[in-house]
Amino acid sequence: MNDSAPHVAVDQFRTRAERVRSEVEKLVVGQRDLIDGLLTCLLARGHALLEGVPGLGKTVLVRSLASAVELSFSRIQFTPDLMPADIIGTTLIREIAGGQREFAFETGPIFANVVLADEVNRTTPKTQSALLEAMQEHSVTVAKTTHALPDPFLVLATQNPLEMEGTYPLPEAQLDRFLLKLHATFPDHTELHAILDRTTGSERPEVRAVLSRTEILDMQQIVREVAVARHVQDYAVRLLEATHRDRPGAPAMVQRYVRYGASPRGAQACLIAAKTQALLAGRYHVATEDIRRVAKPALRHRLILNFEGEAEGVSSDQVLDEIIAKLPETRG
Amino acid sequence: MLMVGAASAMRCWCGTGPARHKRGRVTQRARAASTQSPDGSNVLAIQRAIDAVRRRVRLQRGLSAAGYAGVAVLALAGLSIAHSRFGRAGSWTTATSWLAIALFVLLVSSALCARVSRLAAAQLIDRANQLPDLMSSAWAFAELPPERRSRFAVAAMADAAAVSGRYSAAVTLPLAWPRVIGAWPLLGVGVLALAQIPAARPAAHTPQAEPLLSEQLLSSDEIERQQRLLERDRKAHVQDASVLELDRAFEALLARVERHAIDRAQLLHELAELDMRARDAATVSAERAGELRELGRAFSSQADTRELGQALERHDLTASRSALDKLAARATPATAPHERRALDKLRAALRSGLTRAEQQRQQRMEQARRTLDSLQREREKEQPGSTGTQQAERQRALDEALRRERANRQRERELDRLERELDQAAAEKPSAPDQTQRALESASETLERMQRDRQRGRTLEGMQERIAELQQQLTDTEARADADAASTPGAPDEAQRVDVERFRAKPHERRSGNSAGDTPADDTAASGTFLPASRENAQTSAEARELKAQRISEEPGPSQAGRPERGRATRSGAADVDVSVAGVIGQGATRRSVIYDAAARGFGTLGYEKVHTDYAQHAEAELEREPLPAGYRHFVHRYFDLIQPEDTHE
Repeated sequence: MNDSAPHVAVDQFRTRAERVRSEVEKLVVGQRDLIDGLLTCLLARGHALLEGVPGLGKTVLVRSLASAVELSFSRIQFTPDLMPADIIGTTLIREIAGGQREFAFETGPIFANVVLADEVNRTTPKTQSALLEAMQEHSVTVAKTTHALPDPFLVLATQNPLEMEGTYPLPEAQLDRFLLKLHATFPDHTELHAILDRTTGSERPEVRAVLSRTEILDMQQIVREVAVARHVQDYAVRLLEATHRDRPGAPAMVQRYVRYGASPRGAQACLIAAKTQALLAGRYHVATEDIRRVAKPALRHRLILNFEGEAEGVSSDQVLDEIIAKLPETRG
Repeated sequence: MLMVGAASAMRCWCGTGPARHKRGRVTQRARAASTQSPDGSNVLAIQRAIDAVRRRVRLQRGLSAAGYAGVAVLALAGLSIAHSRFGRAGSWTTATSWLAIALFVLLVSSALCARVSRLAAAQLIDRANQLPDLMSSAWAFAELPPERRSRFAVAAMADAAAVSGRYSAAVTLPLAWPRVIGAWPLLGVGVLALAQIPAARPAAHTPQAEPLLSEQLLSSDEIERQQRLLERDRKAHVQDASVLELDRAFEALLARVERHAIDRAQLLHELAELDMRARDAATVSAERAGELRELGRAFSSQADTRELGQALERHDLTASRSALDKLAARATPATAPHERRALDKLRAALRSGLTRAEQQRQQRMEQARRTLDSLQREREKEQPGSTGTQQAERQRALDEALRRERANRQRERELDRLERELDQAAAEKPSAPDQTQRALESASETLERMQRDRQRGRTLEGMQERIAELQQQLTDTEARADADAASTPGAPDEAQRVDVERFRAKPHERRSGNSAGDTPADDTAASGTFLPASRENAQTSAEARELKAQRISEEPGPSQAGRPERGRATRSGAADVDVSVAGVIGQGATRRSVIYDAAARGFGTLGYEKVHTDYAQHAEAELEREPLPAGYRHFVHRYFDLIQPEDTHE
């Protein structure tokens, strides 16, 4: 697909993405944005942090996605007593032929293409930090030996925003590793009916693998090729700059409630996610609208509000809404 | 060259010419790409679509600019018309017209030639046609060198080129009339309404500069009013040569005032001249009226002519004529014998009245002759050292006597003619009544003539009143000018100049018959007054002062000329020192006048305060005695105000 004509590549990209989406939607009702977000992370080589109250189908969604693609999947239930070695793996002494013994690295559950880090905020920062290298470098280092993670590698973490007792909020460095932070929304009336129909009946829909690993890698490559005009990229840059209170042109809400703005990774996340969105929309180039669409999921977990913002219950989404509303497009 | 420039500008405006700026280079590169790379045609297609929108944008901006420029032009036109209607037209109107044209051209041309970037135009296409940054991104990719374009960029350009023909510039940017055009009709109506207002009457004479306040003699309204009154007098059919001449002189004077071709002093002088002429003419009328009253008293004593006499006494000339007509009717040939007797009686009464009037007239003539002779004798014996005032008084009395003499002669001729006619009527036989009738008709004509004379007198009185009004106005305006000058530090010195010399010289010239070549300095020296000379004749005045000093050394002093009670001036022998004190300009109304004779020998021994008091009292008494125009009185008062001692100045 990489060598085919652009319109063929884009058409295939859209077809494959649609196939995955259709498979996922066999189990997951609604949550279209969430599905697109996960798909975006998969194709943009990013990781996703899913946030939502229990029962909204986060885990089901991730499992469905992993089932729809021919990728290895592992689920890690994060608990306070979970250790890094439980995730990464450990070196064991084992007997080999001839009665000899040797050290052998026993891989942990992180060695999978799709890793579900369920309730990631319930484990200690020590364990959480075990994911840092894996998420950023796609490799883990144990006993001075670096072990590459399978490609593609996708961490899909979930966290519950309500039960905060005994949890360990993810540090900023950890949050910054996630390409998108997605919110699971409560289904509407029709969707609830559909959920009940699908889950309480005798028939349980099965999700088939519709996308091979090679295809996924091709799609990830195509995403990188999407063209971005300078003025569109400039919009992404200015969007990022607008999250910093000390930059000129920062909206009043940013100046008042934001302590730290998004890092350059935020702009990277915006652009790569926008490229995926452009492809999903069947375009060869990124539009400003794509940037706007992914701005909130890409930046919401990268804004650190100050005490006043948190005391007044201001959310990052509100701040980002204000920025998007007031930031003009780059004009020629 | 102009055509080439215009074509180049047009190509630049259309965006198809070889532009020399950065965008132009990109354009050339795009052209090169069209021949070197497969996506070159896409670049040209995109560029064509974008350039079409750029032209549209310029056109829209030009329309908007034209809208605003039109408002500005209309506003300027309104201002210009208002200025021409309520102010002074002229170069301001022309300048406004040019400014309006230049403003319109500048605004529209700058809007048409303003730079519109292709990226902005492409974004406009995207927004108008809801294309998600397709054209703008394609143009951004087109600006890249071909080797740096990814296959997706090329695909995006191809997409844009494919849809570029679908979205025309007219669809992308439909021309919208600027809202400000809605204000055009309103402003246009205002301008038209202003244009309907009649323009102010153009001034007959446009002065080079605004006249000084002190030179603003009469208001234009007042001049117009006076001209209307003159016109009314003309329509009153006063067929009198002297009145018509006065009329014309008055009109010419008003025209000079309107043209600012006369100064205040000269105007006052001319008004005084007119006043004197009108007064002289009116005096003749008054004397005739007096004689008619005497005639009326004579007729009243007779029963038959009582009605005529009473009418004449009342100076009711209409009733007199009616009574005379009745008498003429009674004297018709159809009358009975007793009526003929009554007619004879009437003739006798008329003759008696005429005889009495003739006697009185002869007495007055004799008296006038005596006066004239005595004046002529006095003039022949006139001393060279007599003052100008005395000379002027004598001359004036002589003129008056001569005038009365002339009037008496005229009346004598009229009475003679009337008497002849009565004699003829008395001598004719009863069978020739037509002659009597003619005599009575002649008497009626005489009365009619007198009636016209009365109307003439009224006209002259009106003219005198108007002249007095004007003199009063001039006095008032000068007082205001003084007040203005006092409130304006550093007011022009010229405006504050008092030309007392002119005031004194002109009447003297008029009455003494001096030729125009006589200089004011000569008059001053001859008259012996200590009036200042104007700047122009300062040199001549100096010579006259020397002559005067020489004369004083040889003849009795000024106090002796006409004032024997003061005697010869006492010579103190003190060393006289001429001291000149410069006026301080800028501290209010400063009046400067050089008084030459005050420093002459002989006056130095008298206190200046006493000299001033005596002279001022004398002048005041003369003013009270003589009927002088208000303007002249003002000059005299002003003169003594200016020369009064400093301690009493306050």
